[in-house]
Amino acid sequence: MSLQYSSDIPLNADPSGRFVPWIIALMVYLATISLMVAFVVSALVHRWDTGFSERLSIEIPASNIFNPQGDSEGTKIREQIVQTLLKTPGIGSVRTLPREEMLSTLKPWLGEENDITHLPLPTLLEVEVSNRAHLNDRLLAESLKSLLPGIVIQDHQGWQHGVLDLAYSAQVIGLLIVSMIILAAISTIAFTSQTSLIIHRSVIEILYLVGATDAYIARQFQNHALRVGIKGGTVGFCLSLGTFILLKFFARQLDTTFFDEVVSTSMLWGIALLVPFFVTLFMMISARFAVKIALKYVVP
Amino acid sequence: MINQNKIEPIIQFDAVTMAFEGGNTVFSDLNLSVPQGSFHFLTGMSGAGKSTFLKMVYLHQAQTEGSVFIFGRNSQHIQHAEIPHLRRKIGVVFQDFRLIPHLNALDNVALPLKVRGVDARKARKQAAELLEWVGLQDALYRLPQSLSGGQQQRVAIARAVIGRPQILLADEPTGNVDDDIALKLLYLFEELHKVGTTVIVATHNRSLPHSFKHPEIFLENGKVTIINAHKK
Ligand SMILES: Nc1ncnc2c1ncn2[C@@H]1O[C@H](COP(=O)(O)OP(=O)(O)OP(=O)(O)O)[C@@H](O)[C@H]1O
Ligand SMILES: [Mg+2]
Repeated sequence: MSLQYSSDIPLNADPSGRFVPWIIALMVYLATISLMVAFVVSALVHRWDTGFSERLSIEIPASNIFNPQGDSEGTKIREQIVQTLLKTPGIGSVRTLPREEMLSTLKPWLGEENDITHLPLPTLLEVEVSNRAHLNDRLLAESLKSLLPGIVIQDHQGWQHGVLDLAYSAQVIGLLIVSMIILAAISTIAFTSQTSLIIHRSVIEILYLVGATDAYIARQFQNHALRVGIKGGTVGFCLSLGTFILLKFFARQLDTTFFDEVVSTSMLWGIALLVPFFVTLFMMISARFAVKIALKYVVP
Repeated sequence: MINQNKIEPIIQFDAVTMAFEGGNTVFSDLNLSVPQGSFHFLTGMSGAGKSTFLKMVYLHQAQTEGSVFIFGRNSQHIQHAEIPHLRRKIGVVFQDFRLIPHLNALDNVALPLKVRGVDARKARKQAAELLEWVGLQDALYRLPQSLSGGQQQRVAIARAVIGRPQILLADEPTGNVDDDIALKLLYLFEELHKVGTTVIVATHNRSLPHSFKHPEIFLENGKVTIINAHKK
């Protein structure tokens, strides 16, 4: 003899309820995959963000071109440019690429036998942006150009904006899909609960007559939603796990390190576990409220 | 010392009229008070309104006019949320039993305790005792559909009394059993009456009350007559 009561309302036997766990499984699966895609895209966006947009390169033309009078004047202007940059809000550090470093990178192209030590070379400044939000690009460009009209500022922002917009819209679409799936799951449970309520009207009437409260009856439906959620959630979780393993397998076959680099495994586990958890939670809340509302109309 | 005249009526009907849609008037201007701890038979021909009367007492049917007081509360002023708590103080044996088909006899009897949040083991133990009391110790795990009408009725009786109600309403509790079992069941109600339960037993069999010294509430043509035991 089990120590638990058997459920008063035979919700498990409902014909309408039999396919609901499968629908929930599918919804959990779709929501998990959409969220995973959204988070992978977000990880990629983050990588682009830190990889490029946090850095500017500034090219100061060779001093003999802009200032044929002498090198000392050129050094002074270079100093002024560095000082201006350092005073600009949002800029972290400025590094002047040493002449030797530039020469060593040029050597393979020009050959060992050519003496290139006297070659007029532009000065390259590597600028670290510490806070993109505080940096006013246009103002910076104006003040630098006023010091030296021939200055070249290389920013990676232009082409990047398009990619970022695309990436963010992918994220938004991903989250939108997840919200819609959760909404669909909630409505499915609300409607099946209300249908079951009508099917089991006579049992519910008996429960009322022996002193059951609305909350007691609603709890029966809520517990049923929990069982359906656990069933559907487990199947959905297994499906997403399978998909994930399959993707990882193909990624290995293609010998890309993309998966291991961009995708944090703990994050994916988190999504795969949290989606069924939250879907089940929302289903329980939905069942409870749908029944509480319907009870006012179904049974006198 | 209890002054007999001052005993509060546990059920009171003041000028109650009950008319169903379509003009079928079951009672008109019915006045009645049932003292706490009393035992009444509710008699009348089929269709006289016995079940309707009981439904009004267990708050399942509202009157069209007049006032019904249960436990001193005007039924019209009882909030929806209070009804379950009042019903737990009223045990009902329904004319059509109203057992839950997919629950065995034991779980059907345990139901009123379950909805009150009583632990399953304890509730089933009490249910088993009560099923033994009504002579169904061998049918604990049987589903209602596998029981005879009389057996289902006894399951319904066990369920009605498991919550130790203050009022016990029995609608034709002897309708499906032989006279000797009927008498046995009535003696069960008699036991409950002795421990203070207010009992109303509805029956169209007017010979049954004659074996007991309890007053009869007789319904006829929408009017009520109280026939006291000593007048019989
Ligand atoms: N829901 C309803 N709608 C319309 N008329 C009803 C309804 N319930 C009962 N009646 C009518 O009210 C009258 C009294 O019915 P009730 O069931 O109370 O009789 P009863 O005394 O219990 O009869 P029986 O001995 O056959 O059980 C009958 O004429 C019946 O047709
Ligand atoms: Mg009747």
